[in-house]
Amino acid sequence: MNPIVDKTIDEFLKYLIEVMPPLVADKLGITERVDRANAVNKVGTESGQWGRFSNLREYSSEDMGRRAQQAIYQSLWLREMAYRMVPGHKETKYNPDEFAGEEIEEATRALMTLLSATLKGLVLEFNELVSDVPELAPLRLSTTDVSEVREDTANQAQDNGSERKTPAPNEKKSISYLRCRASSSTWSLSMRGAHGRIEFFLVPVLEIFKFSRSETPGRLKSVLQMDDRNAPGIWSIDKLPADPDELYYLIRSLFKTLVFASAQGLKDDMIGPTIFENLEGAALRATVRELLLAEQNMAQKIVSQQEEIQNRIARDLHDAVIADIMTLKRQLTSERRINDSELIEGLDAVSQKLREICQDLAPRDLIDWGLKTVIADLLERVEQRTGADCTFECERDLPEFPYPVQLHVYRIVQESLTNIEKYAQASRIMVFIEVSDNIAKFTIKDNGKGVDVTEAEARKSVEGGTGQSGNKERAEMIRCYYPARLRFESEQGKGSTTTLEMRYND
Amino acid sequence: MMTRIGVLIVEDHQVTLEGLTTGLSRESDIDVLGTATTSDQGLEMAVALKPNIILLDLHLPGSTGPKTTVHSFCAVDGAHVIVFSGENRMAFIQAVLSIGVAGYLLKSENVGTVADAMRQVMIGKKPVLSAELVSGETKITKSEQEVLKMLARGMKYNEIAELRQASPATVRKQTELLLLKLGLESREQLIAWAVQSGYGNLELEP
Repeated sequence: MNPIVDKTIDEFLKYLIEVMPPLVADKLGITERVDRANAVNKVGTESGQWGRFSNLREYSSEDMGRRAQQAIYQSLWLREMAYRMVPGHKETKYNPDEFAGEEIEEATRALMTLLSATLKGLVLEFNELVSDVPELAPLRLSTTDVSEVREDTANQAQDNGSERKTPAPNEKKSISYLRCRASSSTWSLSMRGAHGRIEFFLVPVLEIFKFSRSETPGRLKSVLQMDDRNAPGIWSIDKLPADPDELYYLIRSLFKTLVFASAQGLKDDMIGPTIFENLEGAALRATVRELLLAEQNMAQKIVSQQEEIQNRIARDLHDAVIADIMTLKRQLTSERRINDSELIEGLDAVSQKLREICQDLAPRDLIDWGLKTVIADLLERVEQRTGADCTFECERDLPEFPYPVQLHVYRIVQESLTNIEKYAQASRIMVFIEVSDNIAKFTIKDNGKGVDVTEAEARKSVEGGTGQSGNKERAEMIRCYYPARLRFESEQGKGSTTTLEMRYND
Repeated sequence: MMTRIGVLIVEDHQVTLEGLTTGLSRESDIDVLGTATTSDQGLEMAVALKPNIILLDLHLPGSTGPKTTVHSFCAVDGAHVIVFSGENRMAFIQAVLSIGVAGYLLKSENVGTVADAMRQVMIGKKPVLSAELVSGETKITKSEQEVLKMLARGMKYNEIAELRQASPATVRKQTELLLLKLGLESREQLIAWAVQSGYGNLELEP
């Protein structure tokens, strides 16, 4: 018997999905698979200016994901258009009605098409894998193309919630969605899009004939929304602008959910929504376990952090301050006695170091001067110490964030800069702060050695916590106030970029 | 006949305040109209006494922070604000200068220098900085060197910004800071200085 099948189906599936891209690339020859997906998908990609994406031939499914991501960059163009359409540029409050035209529809269609192509790539790979294992053959998935489906509103009227959020402005009797699906024999992942909103539902396969009845709010798994009020043309997930990679992972995780729901159905020989509840129950139990573990770790961490802080103060005082004072004393008592100005210089150096230690422990300056100035100062001191070419950019004044948010942002920037100073050997360091449309974005970037992110993860679990994990925790704290996102990107030899984004309220 | 300069001193450190008051009163053209030890008291007196110059400490008891303090004193009609502080970090000084003060002096300055700075402000020079801050080449940072090289080669703000992946506004700000640091007045002077110092010359470049 195949040793892999000896594992539970769940584990096996998890294994399949986790290893899929390299496995597929190695064994199955990804190029052909995806070619087929493209052929089926030709209709959508041929339309209009999105035609440049139609030549998807030599891409893997991951590349397809990236194609989908490009739609987002395209939507930046849309945003430009929107602004140009409104007299007075940004000063004029954007009016969604003036922008509800073809551009939004076109962007929706383009993104739908590319998302569905990504999904198809995944499905083809998956089918190929399960066909080798007879026990799993019933899990094979099927997909449909993106097509426009008109539904009359008689059905819709009985529906609730989700349906109302996507009204068709010019249609009174029917509503039209772009749709596509990926289905197993039990569950179907249904994607529908219209007017800058794309919704993903997981519905029992037997119910998909009545779309709007089966797509209940409870089955809504995720929404991509073009945020047309604040930032026309930008797609967002959970109110934060969707980043290229995230789109791909969104599709992957929806696909995963579909496969798990279907696999559970096979194993338990159950049908209907109970399956899904089971699934969520399992997920919930896992989460509870994780939380308990996290709590134990937290206690441990607090203790060791206190030790760490005390050690650092002792080290700083010893290395910097005591050493300097001893040097001064020696110079004062030696034969060639230093003159007053040298003495003052020495004292200045000591007081500067003491001030830095105080600043590090309790950033008094942050309260006095605010985030922008204090970050500029951080970078300036890095520049003095490293001699690197440092650029600070912040064109607008920052809004007054609650103090804890300011502190966490400050610490994240500080920690990122410390890491760069310690490890990166960078000759160029940049800090950008951008504020627009209620989103504040902090970018810390260098051109130094960079790290292999996966390797860094591995090292972290051995050494127990680096600056990055500390930063993640701080980002979590910011999330108590605002939706926020922290990203660390780096590649060996290519520097690193830390980005913190948050959406604040006025 | 010399114009007389009316001065208000706002400073919470008693010894410094006394030293300044005594020292400045000895100057023949300077009248110390009053002294205050808190921000609120200072503001009231500034409005009542109409001084030409307010000598202002950055950290005052009961104030909401140095930026706010400076803002409210700068809003007083007809008065030039000279900040008098121990704070010597450039980022903070820049933050204060951007509010529009007429001068920034470090607390290590002697009274004579302070009086001179006031006279310069009165004849329209702005901003007047402590010599330590205008220390010429020694304090030019790496990124400023890069900007100087590009300026010396005749590049425009936009071109420099593009090459440095920064915005034109940032480059302009850096240039302004360079003017302060070098004690120069215009971009033309700065370019001339950069060329003379060998920036932009590929062989001589420091």
